[in-house]
Amino acid sequence: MDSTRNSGALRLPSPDKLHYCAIDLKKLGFPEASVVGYSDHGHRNTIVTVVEPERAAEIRYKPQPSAHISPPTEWNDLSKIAEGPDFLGGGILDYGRGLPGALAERP
Amino acid sequence: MDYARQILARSDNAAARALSAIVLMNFSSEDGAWRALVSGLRDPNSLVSVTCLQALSSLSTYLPRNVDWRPSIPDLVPLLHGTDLFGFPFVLKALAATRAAPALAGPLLEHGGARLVIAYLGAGHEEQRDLAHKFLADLAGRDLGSSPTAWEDWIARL
Repeated sequence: MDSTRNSGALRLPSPDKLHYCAIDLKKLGFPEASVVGYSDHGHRNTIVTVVEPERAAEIRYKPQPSAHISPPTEWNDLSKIAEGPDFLGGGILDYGRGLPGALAERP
Repeated sequence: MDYARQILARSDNAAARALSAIVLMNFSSEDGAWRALVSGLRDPNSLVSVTCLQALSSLSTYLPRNVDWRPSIPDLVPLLHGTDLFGFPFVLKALAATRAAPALAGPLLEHGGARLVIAYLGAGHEEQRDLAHKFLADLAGRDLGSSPTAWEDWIARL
């Protein structure tokens, strides 16, 4: 897709103002997009991955669940954490390290 | 574990679904926990899918084990086609960490399922290349090297 031609969809003052984030790429018509940054020897790099519009039918999320199921009361303390602002702050990634049988070091 | 799986799959409460993903991390010895987390990557709510992504990454790093992924083919096919692209590298990581069986190669890679994997194999970033390479080598049961062409030839013969 010609992002320059389509940058008008984002109401940008000029095409060079295009900032590659997944939300903007979706606004340009890509049905799925991810933008991930990483540092390599002091250089900031960005990996942009998109699914082309003609493959939109291959993107299949599940429908919104609709059952009213209450978590058990034993989860109450955890629930407060899940609703907090730092829920996805990185603790989950290390949670496995403390579980029984976990590898002491990353493989 | 069954209750956590039920909530993750069916509850209308996104926070509860995200919470259930963390609860499932305590059941890494059960194939069903891994499968539920992979299915959660296709959740329509990003809080849930990102939680599942992080949970899968953590289990893949610290608690790798063999998993029978055959029941997850209906989830894995759309994920390998690009559903939840943020989760895509973590799908490759989880399948490699759990030694996805060669019998899955056809169902997962045919009909365009390998397109993104091959793109990763040719990526400029080493981490992406390594994820794709290890995933393909597990599915093939042998290593055809780092060239996308060799793997494309192999996939064409599946």
